[in-house]
Amino acid sequence: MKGQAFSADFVLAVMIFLVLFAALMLAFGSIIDFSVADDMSRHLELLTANIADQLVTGSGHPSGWESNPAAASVIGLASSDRILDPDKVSALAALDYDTAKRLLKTEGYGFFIRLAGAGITAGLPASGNLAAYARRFVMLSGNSETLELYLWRQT
Amino acid sequence: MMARRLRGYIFTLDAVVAAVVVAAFLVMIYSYTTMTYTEIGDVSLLRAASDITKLLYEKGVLQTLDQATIESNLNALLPPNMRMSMTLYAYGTGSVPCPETLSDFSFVGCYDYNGVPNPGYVYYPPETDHSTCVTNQGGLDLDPGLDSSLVVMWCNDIVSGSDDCDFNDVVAAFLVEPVQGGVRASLSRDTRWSAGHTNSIQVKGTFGGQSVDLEVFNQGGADYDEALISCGSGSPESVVQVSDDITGSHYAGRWLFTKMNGPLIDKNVLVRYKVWFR
Repeated sequence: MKGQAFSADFVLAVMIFLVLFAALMLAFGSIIDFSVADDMSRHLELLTANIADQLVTGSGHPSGWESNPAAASVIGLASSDRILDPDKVSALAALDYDTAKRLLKTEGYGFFIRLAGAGITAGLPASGNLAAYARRFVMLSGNSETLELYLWRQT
Repeated sequence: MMARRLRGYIFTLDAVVAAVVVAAFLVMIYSYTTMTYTEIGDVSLLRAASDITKLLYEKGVLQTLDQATIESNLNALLPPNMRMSMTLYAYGTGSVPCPETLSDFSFVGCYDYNGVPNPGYVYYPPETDHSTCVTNQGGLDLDPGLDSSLVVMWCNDIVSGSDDCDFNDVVAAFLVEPVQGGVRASLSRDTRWSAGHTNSIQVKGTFGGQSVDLEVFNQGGADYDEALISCGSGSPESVVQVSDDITGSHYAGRWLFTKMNGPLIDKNVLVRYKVWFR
């Protein structure tokens, strides 16, 4: 009788423990899933912000890359800080998609750039289900302009 | 019988305690991930505000120091989901107060390199908790990805009284790393400009086979408007407040020193802006 009573207590305790443990594992799994997804999302957001920063503050490498895009290793659109060079913008819009993607160093993500006021676009509109967006305010040909950058990927 | 039941309760209590500990751990992880996400939002806000401030400067709007003019132009530039307030402190041609910490600034600027203005920028992006000097701009063609032997020195004149970045002046020294489009030198967030002293960052060495010798001062000449600032103590000649100050729950603020010399104005102006989502 003593042994049976102890077994009943033990079984009850184990059941309670297992229920709690299962609940915790479910919660832990959800947080891990969320964290992985959030890490990807955060990385994409930071990458988008950094590329946008490079575009609007950097002149690219070499700095006159627009006259010979084949020799470009990094794309920048600025003639000076947040003032875009129309020739660089045109050169980017004229680049083929894969070359531009490589030079922007998008880490394999698709990209789309739009200068709405000037009606200039580059890249392909987002078609993935993971995307990030950065918006920067710049000058282009003496006018204020908004540069929008989307990075996207099919997950 | 009582003692036997107690064993079960004790065991269950152990399980509950263990579950509570694990749950607390999970909550901490969740809080951490959420907190980091908020910081990214701040960066986005600050960059937008920095852009708009720069645009207002390029269009000659800030230089008017006229509240109505600045406000109407600011509102025309702001996207619908953002609000921004701005306070301009005009200090004449005298000195402006020295910054207290590096992290207060989104931009300081880099010294001219061989007469080529604007060779680089100093960023202090809050997302990294580090200060960075990216020297990829203007006439300095650094080729990212190549071997580098650059050393960054953070100096001031406190010990030796000079700012020549010799042994006595170096606050910290770091190797730089190549990043997209250039190089980045990371400095601890604890590193501070020393108020009332000459401070400088010097970048020396070779990068991609080129010799590099850059200096960033917070005191010096006036070739680049935002780069070279004399700081000390001073009180503003005038203060212009644009838009109501913060009312939203989520906002970020930043100070920006701008030396607005030129045809419209020849004053040292300190611009303080705050930005938030509607």
